[in-house]
Amino acid sequence: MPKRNTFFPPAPKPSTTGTLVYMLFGPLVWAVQFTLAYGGHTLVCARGGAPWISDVVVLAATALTAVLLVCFLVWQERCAGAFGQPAPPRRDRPTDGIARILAFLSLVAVFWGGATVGLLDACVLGR
Amino acid sequence: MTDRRPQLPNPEPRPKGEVDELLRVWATPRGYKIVTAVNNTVIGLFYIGAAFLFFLLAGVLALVMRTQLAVPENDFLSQGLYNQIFTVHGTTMMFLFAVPAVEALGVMLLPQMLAARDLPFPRLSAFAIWAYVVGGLVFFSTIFYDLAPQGGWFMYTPLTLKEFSPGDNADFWLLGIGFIEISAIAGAIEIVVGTLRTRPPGMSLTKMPIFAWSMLVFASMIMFAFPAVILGTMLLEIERSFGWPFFTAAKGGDPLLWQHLFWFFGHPEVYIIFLPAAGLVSMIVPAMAQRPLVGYRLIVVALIGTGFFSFGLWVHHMFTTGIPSLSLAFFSAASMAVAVPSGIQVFSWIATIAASRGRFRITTPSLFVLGFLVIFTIGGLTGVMVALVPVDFQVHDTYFVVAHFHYVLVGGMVFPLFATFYYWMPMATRRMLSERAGRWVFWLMFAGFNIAFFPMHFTGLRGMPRRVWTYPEGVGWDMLNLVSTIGAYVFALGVLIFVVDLVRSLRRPPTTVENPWKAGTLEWLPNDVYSTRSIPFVTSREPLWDRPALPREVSEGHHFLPNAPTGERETIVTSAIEARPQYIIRMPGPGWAHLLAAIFTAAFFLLLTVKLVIPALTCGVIAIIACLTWTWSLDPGPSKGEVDIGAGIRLPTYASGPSSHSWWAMIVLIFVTASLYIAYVFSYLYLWVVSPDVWAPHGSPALPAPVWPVGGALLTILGLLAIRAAGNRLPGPGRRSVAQPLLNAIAAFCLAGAVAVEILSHWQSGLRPTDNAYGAMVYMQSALNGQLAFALIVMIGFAIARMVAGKLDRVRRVSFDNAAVLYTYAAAQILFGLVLVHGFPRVAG
Repeated sequence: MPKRNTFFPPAPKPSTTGTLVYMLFGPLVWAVQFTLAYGGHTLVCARGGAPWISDVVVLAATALTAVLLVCFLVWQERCAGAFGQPAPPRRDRPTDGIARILAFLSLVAVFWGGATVGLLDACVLGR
Repeated sequence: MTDRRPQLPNPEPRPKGEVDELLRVWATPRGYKIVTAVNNTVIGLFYIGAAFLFFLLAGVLALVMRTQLAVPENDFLSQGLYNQIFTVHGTTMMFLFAVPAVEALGVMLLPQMLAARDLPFPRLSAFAIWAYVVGGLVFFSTIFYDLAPQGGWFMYTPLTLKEFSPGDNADFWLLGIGFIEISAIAGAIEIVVGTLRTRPPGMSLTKMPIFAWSMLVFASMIMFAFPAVILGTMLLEIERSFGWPFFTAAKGGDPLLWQHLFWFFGHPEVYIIFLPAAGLVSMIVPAMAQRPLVGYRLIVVALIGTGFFSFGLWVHHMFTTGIPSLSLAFFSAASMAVAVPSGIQVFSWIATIAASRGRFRITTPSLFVLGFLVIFTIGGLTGVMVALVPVDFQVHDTYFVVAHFHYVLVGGMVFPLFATFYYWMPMATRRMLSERAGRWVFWLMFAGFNIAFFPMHFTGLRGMPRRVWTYPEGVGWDMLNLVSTIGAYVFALGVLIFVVDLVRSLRRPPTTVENPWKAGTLEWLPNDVYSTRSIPFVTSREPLWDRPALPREVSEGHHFLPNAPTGERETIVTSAIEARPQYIIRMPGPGWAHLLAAIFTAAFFLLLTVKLVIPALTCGVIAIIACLTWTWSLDPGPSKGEVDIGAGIRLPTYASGPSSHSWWAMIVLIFVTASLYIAYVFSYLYLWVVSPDVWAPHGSPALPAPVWPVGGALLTILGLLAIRAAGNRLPGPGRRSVAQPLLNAIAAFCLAGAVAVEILSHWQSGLRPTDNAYGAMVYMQSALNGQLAFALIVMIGFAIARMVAGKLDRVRRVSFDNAAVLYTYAAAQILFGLVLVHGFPRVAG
């Protein structure tokens, strides 16, 4: 009779929530940047604030989230541990790869969205 | 050849009679009782059949519209009827065909791809399907009685407010579609929990088929997108029925709030439709190329990335409404960014085809996939064009946009769906569709589509606006419109040939063809009503290619759970990340309760639409009773002990708490509820930004004294403590408790009291919901909290009844746990709401 260990060798189990957050770290940070930049900028403009305040809000949100993403990409091993991923060689490498590419894609999106700040007047109506 | 039998979970020959037992347990009801069936192989077919019926019906409406537009100054249709037809066409295609068709494929294909006996909540699936069928048919039939709405599928305010759209027409849309969205959410809960918890042992997240990934992303998107439009429909219906001015500018409301709520759902909706279709393509392409998909990880990244980025695009539908330039730039940037993950998928499919080195088979499914690639890519390119703000200003509300979104939606969803019909038909019915007829179908549809829609780019660039029922002669639109109409009929001819072939095929006796495409995924294992004889141990992404003996091993019962040890319907629940076996889920079989619940819930909404309040409430009560009857049997307890599934693994047949599938479903439901509430908070703050002059304390009566919100908060906290204490006082098995139901009752009373105190506090201050947008938003918060409180009172009453009946104790506690976790969320929402409604105006004012 085969044993359970043949199919499921004893090993540290990854955290469920941790794995999902680890994998989705990049897009979640992008969502934070998008919400802060769009919400903050709209609020400042709607309440009659100076346009430069709006620019500062967008730049701050962009810089903060970009730093977070860069840190994640540079110290991914440490981040993985913090999110409950087992140490190599028990780590699921495709999960690492997906998290890394998503973080990189999100970094591009953060810069892409934030780059608009220097190009346009913040509070002038588009039409 | 290596003998791999020792590696099998159940290597010994299986006892006789196991298959007969499986057939008995999973038998499909016969005759009229077929409507009580819950098995995915049956209701999945009903679901896809109903969705396809709506596709045909909405398609007929499209032909009627194209006939009207074939020549200038045509009087084939009246203006009002034309308005109704384009509204019902769009609504039906989006709400009654596209999303349900995709959910249907999920219900039908996921259990087979994951080798689960069924998804974890089969009656919930069946409920969702019947609710959708009844609600959908009634909604569609309004076109025959001059009762259909005329506001377009997006139902913009102020056009759809009572003063501009009198009668019940718009209400049919609001209540009917709102109700169908609830059905879609029920399906999404099933798909999220099913995908994460009923995968076969060994199939970790990163070994999951791409279609399962796409359905997981799809269902997650529904969780966050649909609540926004549900809130929008609630607000609009309440304004129409009771005069709460959410969208009336004269009273501090804003018509643009509707657009924000609608498009926060509406744009992700496009990807909600597209991503599963892309997932289907990612399954078909490797099978036809006979090699694994190139860039599995990149495709997963693309699915997740698209899912997220699609929530940052909604304002690109509102570029012309007067929005600050910088906001336009954010949404323009995000609209272009989403093209990157979509492009990754397209390049991955092309790379897979190229890497097959000529082995890619040109079959009917392949043709539809290739047609999809061409059409969807054109739609994607025009999408990037309209993401550019200046281009959008020019082509907004013209036929260019009609051409763009039909290229995206028909290319991105309908063509993959037809590929699916041809590809998975043998799995679902053991019959093949005709390859010869299939080629006619493809070429007619492909040619017809392009003849119909490509000229519309030029019609739009020449200035023809959307939604006009006719147009003058000689402005350069005549020939283009005639060509489009001819193309529409050619497309329809292709669909007609498909229907004829489908009927002809279904009339033939089934054949025994297994895996005709030689695919590598689990849905092509030998299967019956119980799915596969045993549930395979999975070690790769294409198990059938990597282990050619797998079909034989599975059908001889050498893998996990080769029998029905509890004598009931069951499948293995595995851990969400690594798919390690955790417990056996015992699932309900056929029944009437969920069917009655669906019918009477639909009746409740529809009767409410025509203001038959007493009959509506009666139907609502019957629906609740049916739901309670249905759920009474869903917490069977641990009476069956542990069972052996193979490899020396013994699993419990019951689970409660955070590891149980019902707890997961409740968490998903809480995410949905929280999304609805976040949409409310957005609406509250949005209207404050637009009209701070109507906000308290200057534009409305002064806020209630602090003692009121403090009282409400204390009641909420007291209720929370009571429900916690009730959890700690659950008696041991076989025993009863008096204190526990009493604490439950106190918790329910406190919750109801907290909501009542909040309403009373504003009422005594002189504020009325019809005064202005501020008053409406304040009372709307209590309406949302009241809904939650009502649901919890029913759930707590249910838990008390189970305690009295001896069906609730320290071990058998799922019904209580579900109520407790929802209660915790409700308390958090109420407390946050008190801070928002009583604190924010004091700070901002």
